[in-house]
Amino acid sequence: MIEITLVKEFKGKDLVKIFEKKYGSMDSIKRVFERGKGNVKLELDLDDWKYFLKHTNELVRETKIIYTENPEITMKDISLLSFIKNQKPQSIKELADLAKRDISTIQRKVTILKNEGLIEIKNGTKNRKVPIFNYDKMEIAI
Amino acid sequence: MRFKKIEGKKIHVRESNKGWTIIILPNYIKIDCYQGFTNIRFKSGGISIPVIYDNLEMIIAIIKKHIISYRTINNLILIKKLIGALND
Repeated sequence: MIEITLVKEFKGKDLVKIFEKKYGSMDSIKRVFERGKGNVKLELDLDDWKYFLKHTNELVRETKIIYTENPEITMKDISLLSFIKNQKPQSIKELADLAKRDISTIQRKVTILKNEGLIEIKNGTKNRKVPIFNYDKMEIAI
Repeated sequence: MRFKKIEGKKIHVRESNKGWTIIILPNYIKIDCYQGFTNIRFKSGGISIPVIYDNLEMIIAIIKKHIISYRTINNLILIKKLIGALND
């Protein structure tokens, strides 16, 4: 069993942007929340969306603790995370070029990292898949 | 004993000047300190159960220990621990 802790800090206005991308509008999260029959995560996001619209410069710290059984993550994958965070590649091919590795290998690795909850994949221009890793700190505990 | 998969258990914590909130997935348990005291809820608008601890780190440590020991999230046992009705 491995415990992975991811930490990021940002301002209230950044959290509002995250909500806008995730839910579209406040009306749509309200509709999803009403359908969600008491979903506490939606309730938190809705409350925070209202709060941080008024407190745009307030610092927010988010911590995500993930448990995994057999992570197929190697040190090479950690360096991939570093490339994704610091070089911000705009496609999987760009990431493969940065890492000087075969694109099919990188594609498989990106899927693993996504499934482990470590990165997000956003749709870029021309159907490109953009890997995102926007955490400030990552801790691995056994 | 059947081997329980720990996969998919997640703890989300959000902290700001407003206070802090913990969401435990996939059970959708919410623990926060927004009402002036720490409380646990399983559903939005549901019953709010006071937690005896008010220290975020201590509560996270209890949740982590629970997940690692039981390899799952047992709502009843976790509540008992957080309200002080069950000791290790």
